[in-house]
Amino acid sequence: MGKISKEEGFKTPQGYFEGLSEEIMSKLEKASFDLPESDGFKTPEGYFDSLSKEVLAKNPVAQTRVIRLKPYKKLLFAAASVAAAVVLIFGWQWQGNRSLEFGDIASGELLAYFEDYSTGLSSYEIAEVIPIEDLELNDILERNLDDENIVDYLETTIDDIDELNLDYDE
Amino acid sequence: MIAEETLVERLKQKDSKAFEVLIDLYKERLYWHIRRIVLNHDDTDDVLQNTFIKIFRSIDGFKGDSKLFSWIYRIGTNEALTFIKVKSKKLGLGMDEVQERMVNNLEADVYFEGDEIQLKLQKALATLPEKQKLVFTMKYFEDMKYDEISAILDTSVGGLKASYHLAVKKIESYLKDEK
Repeated sequence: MGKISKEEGFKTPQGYFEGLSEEIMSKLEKASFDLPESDGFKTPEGYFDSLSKEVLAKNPVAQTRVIRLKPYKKLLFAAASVAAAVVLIFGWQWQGNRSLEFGDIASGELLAYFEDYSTGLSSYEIAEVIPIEDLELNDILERNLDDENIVDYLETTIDDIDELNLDYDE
Repeated sequence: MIAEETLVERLKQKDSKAFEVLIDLYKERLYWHIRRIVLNHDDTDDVLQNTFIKIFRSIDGFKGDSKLFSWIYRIGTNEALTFIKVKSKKLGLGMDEVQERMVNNLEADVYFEGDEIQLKLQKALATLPEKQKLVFTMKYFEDMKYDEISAILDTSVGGLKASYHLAVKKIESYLKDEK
């Protein structure tokens, strides 16, 4: 037995092992079963040729300019949106004889709901439908804001504070 | 070919020629990416055009932390997914039902010329969770690398590999059962 060579006489094509790992990995990454190479979708003829013109015809460049007509309205809407969100998330007290109160729902569940079921509405759209007449800013803030703080804030963030027509005597 | 930094700079200056260059550069790749999510050509066209308009309007917010390519794809993906969510809300149906309806409409779609197996594949894809479906189509049909997908979907490469593996297994099992 000691005289028999351990050489078996088998050989491999030149360079076989060099590309083997990559080949196996690429086969693993592609599906291990027969899948179509393409997905069967097509486009109308010449669709891509006219696309640039079509998008540019909508004049997106010009629409990027935002003209601020009444900046205080923007602030009101923003405040209303914040108010709506805070009220919705942290416990609107329902009126009437409901056995289950809104406050019983964990805020985590509410957040998950809003995440899963996007309303598709912007903050401005929400602000338009939420009644805010009876709400004051200080109703929903933990710390009361003095008029002085608000004016300071506006002075630092608004380009022309005179546009707001503030009545300082109030 | 224009360098990415130059293109971004010109886009931020609202140079309409640069917008045209950007559209020509990405229109086909982005179209197919969105098409594989919303399936129908007309819806894809709407989402694609909205995506480009959104890109134009938000270009000032592009800080260069990621590649322009990833940023554009992220906007396109979000627009397409939002489109389906809004559609499901309008129809009063769950996301699964909407996906099923979208796939069933393919049979009568003049811009779908897939054979039986291609249609089955779309049906199988419709059963997958959102992330798995995205990873599978981006890897399999769009030949993207994991690190590219990772930058777009903001998910680790390891997580993406796991999602792709699961997607393949589920598609395989779906196709076997449907035989």
